[in-house]
Amino acid sequence: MMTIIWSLLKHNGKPITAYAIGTSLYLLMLAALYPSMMKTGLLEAKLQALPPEVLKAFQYDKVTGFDNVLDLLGGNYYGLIFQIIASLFLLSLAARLLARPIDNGELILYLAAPITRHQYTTAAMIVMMLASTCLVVCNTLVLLLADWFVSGVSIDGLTLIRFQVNALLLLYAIGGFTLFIATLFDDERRAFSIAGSVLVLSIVLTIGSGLSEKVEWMRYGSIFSLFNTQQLLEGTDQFLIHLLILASISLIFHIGAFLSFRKRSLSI
Amino acid sequence: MIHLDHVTKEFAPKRGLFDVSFTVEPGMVFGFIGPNGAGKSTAIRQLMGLIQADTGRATIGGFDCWNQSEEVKRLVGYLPGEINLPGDFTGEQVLQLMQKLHHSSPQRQQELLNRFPFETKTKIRKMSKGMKQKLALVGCFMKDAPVYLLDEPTSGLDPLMQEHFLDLIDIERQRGKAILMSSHHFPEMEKSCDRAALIKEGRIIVEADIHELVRSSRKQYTIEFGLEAEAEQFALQIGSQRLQKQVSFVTGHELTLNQIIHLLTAYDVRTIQSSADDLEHVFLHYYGEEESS
Repeated sequence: MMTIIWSLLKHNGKPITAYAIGTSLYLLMLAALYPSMMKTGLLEAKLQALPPEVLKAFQYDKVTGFDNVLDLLGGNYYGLIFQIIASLFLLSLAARLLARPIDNGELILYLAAPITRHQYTTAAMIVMMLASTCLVVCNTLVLLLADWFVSGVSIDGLTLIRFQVNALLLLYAIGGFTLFIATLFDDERRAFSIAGSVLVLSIVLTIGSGLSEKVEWMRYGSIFSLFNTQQLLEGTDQFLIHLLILASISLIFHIGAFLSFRKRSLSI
Repeated sequence: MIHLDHVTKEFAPKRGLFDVSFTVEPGMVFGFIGPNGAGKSTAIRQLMGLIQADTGRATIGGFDCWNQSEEVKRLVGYLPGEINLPGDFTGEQVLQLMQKLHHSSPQRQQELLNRFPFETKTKIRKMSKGMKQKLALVGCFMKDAPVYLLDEPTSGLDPLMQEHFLDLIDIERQRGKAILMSSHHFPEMEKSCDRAALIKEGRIIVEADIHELVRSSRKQYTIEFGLEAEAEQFALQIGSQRLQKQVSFVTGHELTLNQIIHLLTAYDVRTIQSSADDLEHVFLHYYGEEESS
């Protein structure tokens, strides 16, 4: 099992590192710029100039009085950008781990060995979880470093941990879903487009729900409603319930991936 | 050792496998011969536990190929028909990984690399088809398994490497391995197999000892004579048609090569050419009978 995991990590190491480093650098840049933004008041002025619907789409509720960098990141990064990056990251990873090797036949390198499909799926699942954890840990470390070295960032440790644990569980849930879809088809593009369509719809529902109070219910059709940054910042969210639901979604789709992949015929 | 018992797997009408049965014993090389799309790879995938049969059962060493695929794969060295490997890996990395996954010996790997030499530091995506085939052969045989399943094993190999491959097959047969190999190229089967089955549209048309198949096979020849008159006379003798100074005919039970040679001693023969030994020509009569029945 360790041989498969190590090989898959080696094969997919570059994109995983690229996403982790790329997002961390972006966070570091925002954290580094945050004190000067606050001094000039430019950020708040710009946000006030934006329509409230746009601000809601990015989960910015308060446009005045940023207490720390997480207030900024809650809207700027975790409000929408993170959702898009998480979707792309996990879609491409599931494609590289399962959909593509099934499609182009590379999977036979592993399945010709005395390895069950169960073991391969477990290895792919572990790699996806490790990749998600790597992304979140890198993001967290960068913010902690910024807190220590950049004056004026002043991150609340507990809120940061709640943010990152919630983000991690969201990644696990999306990862389970993309892995499950990847086991269903022989065609990589088909798997990618179906899983991608569902995730794009989720993002659209999140954005659409901010346009009017009448359509706010749309948010609950999206998995991203289980990572409400505004409520996390205010401490009014149902943090544990959200974690529980995300863990259940992750579990259900991972079990689905095991069952689906175990029984299918492979033309490789 | 390898056993297919009335296996059927239907993808579409005339596509898949239909009631296929055969057995390969230890120390036997069994050829699975058929044109492209006949069902050879499907049968091998059944044995590798990649496809579940609609009906029937495939076993290797007594283990069910679908339900006990892990045990089956411990016994099998597999060479796929299409060599698809991660493009970013070098040949060396692939062999290292295979060595770990199959618990094979580095010494045997080196012996095989001497037999099928190629630049192991080259990345897969930069490799030619022949190089990839050699890499796959080394990966397959370094396992030293009691059973080998080889799908089009000489595809992309140059004639020298094909000879090396046939030598290896002979050694492995003598060591008591059960070998199933598929091909649409009859001459290599003729050289290496003990027994063979012809397959078309998913059904086995004939299964026999390879010598029996060779005896019943037909080959096409074209002879060029010095004069058109001679060509005309020879064509009449054997009941064939003439094209200028050339006469083409197919040998078989009714018209053997020995008879032809005997007749030709009376003529001024310029050239004798045998046609490409493609399967359709060699076993045309089997396929023809199947279609007319």
